[in-house]
Amino acid sequence: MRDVVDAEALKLRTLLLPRLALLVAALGAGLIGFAAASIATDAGETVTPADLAAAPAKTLWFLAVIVAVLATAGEFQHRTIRTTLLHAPHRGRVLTAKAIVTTAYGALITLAGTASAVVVGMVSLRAEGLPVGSVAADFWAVAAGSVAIGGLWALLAAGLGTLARNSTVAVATVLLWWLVLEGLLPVVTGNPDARRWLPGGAADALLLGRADLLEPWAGGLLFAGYATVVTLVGAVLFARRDPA
Amino acid sequence: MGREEGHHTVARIRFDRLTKRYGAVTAVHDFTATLEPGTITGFLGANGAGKSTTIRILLGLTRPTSGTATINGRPYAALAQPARVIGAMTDPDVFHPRRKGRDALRVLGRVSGIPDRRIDEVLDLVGLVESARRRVGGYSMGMRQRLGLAAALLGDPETVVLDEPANGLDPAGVLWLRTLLRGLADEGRTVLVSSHLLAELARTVDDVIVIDHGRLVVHGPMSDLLGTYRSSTLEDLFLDVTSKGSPS
Repeated sequence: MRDVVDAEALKLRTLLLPRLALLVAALGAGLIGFAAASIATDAGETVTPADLAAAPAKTLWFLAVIVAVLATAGEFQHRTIRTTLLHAPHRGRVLTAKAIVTTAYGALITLAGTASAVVVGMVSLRAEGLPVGSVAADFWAVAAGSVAIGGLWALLAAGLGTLARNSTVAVATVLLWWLVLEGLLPVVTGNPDARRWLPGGAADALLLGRADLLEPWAGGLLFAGYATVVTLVGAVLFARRDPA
Repeated sequence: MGREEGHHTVARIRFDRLTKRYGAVTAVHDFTATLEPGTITGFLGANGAGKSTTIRILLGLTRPTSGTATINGRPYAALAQPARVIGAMTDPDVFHPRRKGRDALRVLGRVSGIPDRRIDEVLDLVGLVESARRRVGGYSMGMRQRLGLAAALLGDPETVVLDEPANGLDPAGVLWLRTLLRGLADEGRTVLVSSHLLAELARTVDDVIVIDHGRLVVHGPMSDLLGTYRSSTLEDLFLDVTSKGSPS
């Protein structure tokens, strides 16, 4: 099992996109941290480290989704899944290894980006001589929650990639769900609180307390449930269907 | 291995009443054959005759509707480190275009604990040392075939299965492939090589399996078959035993 995990990690390391995603995460989140500090400063508000940690979260999660989709759907698109399975014919082990590696990479991307946003944001506030809110318990909760959700978004996306077998379809599905359907469903169903039960709403509950969303722990559990279901459905179909 | 079954030892590759249906289409029908060690067996058939399906079932990539395909008495999925038992090449387009050739082999070798030294050895064997640090996307079809062969040989396997390995090779490449296959068989390995290009195989194989519309037509040493069917060439033999030769 360990060899299969090693091989999956090596697959990501020998391609440019995962490294590029990590770089974009660090640079982009730094920019977001800087922007969050400037905007709040102009508005005369105090920015807390927790605000800075939450600011780049969705961007980082999206980068985690892209890398995870590459790791699963990419194998079907480039038909590398054939050689992968020739060397590791136990399909359950291959998928488990992919789940472990993509979750870890999603968490890593989110961790790097969050750290960058917080450091850049705080440095720019200090440089302006402005007060920086204290590093309190809520900072650690938001930072840890964001990193955990980054890992889980990657897990969910890896499962979706296994189902869709096509990177474009998998990424488009995530975007469409995130940007359109989650906004539409509460309206269509006539239930304005519906979003708190949907994946995006559940994930956002971990960022900063919002009255219309679940408690952070409940949102985290619900999102982990979504990620698990998608992963399991992907695994069942992967075991049944012929690869490529 | 070495287990007695009657007076024969268990063969390296065995197909037993293999059948695969896709809806109403029967791709492989009741296919039974046994391959002996130390021989090169040519697996012949027209495009769509069922060669690739049979090979994919042997490699665990496709599930049979009924029957079994085994390597040393076990199905592919039951092999602990398959790369060390059977090396296979299904088609040349199984590499990520943006991964370097050597990295593609490292990724595969990692699962079976194959050292980097062995990766350099097989790259040398297939003549790809100089291109190994370039991305596969820039390779010609022939180079991707060679990389596929390198992947098949990574684990120094006793059995080698190659689906259409001559595709995309230039005449010098075909000659090189023949020499390589002969060398592998002379070392006592079992080689199964499929092709629809008969002339390329004629001078390489010991045994011939002909498959037509998913059914086994003939299987035996090429010299015997040529005599039996009074054919002068492999091509004549093929046309004699398959429906392609019969006027419609």
